[in-house]
Amino acid sequence: MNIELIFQIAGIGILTSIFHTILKQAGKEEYSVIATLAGVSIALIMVVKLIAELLTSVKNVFFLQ
Amino acid sequence: MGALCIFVGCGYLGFKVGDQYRQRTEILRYLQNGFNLLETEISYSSTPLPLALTRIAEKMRGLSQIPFAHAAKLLKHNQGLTAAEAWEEGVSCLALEFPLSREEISILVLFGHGLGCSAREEQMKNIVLAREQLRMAERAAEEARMKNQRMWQYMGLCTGGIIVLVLI
Repeated sequence: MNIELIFQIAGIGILTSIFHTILKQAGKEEYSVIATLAGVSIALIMVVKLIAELLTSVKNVFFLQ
Repeated sequence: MGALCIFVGCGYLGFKVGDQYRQRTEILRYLQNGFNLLETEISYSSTPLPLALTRIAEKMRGLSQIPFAHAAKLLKHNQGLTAAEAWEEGVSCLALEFPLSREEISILVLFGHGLGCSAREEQMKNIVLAREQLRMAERAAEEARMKNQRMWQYMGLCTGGIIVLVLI
């Protein structure tokens, strides 16, 4: 298990939450939602390969191929 | 090393954008002071406009002295240029140095139209009007600064952090 990835995603989560708070304080709610979505998508892009691997192993475990 | 460069660069950009809000309020405040001085020069000592503008430019600091200094230079050296045209040139010079909003430019340009070509009382009224408009613009700029300056500073740093985290 790649532990660095977890820390990376945690960091992105923290920074995204700061983004969200700052933009919301500045009265730009719509941008804060966009920033949060961007953070989530970046994190998703980073883990998408791992999710694919997970799904493949699930398929293999249950003989679904 | 690269990560540090990206982080510092993004932070610097954020601070630079945030600093523009502070500079805008500062320029508007100094311009009001300049108009106060111009009012004194016109009403109490009846100084000729090029000399008055030069004196004001000498007393002012930073970017806000540009329109006064440039207009004074044009009035001294370019024969046949009206005060309004010289002032407009000065304002466009300032707009080149600092991104003023269209509203602020129009306040300054409109102020120039009454400059040096009407009676003293009319010019006083014109200065008071321009100062009042600048005060309102300054208040709006101050509100925008309170809202946005910190936001841009944090955004720069956070963006740098995210880029570094993604690239690591």
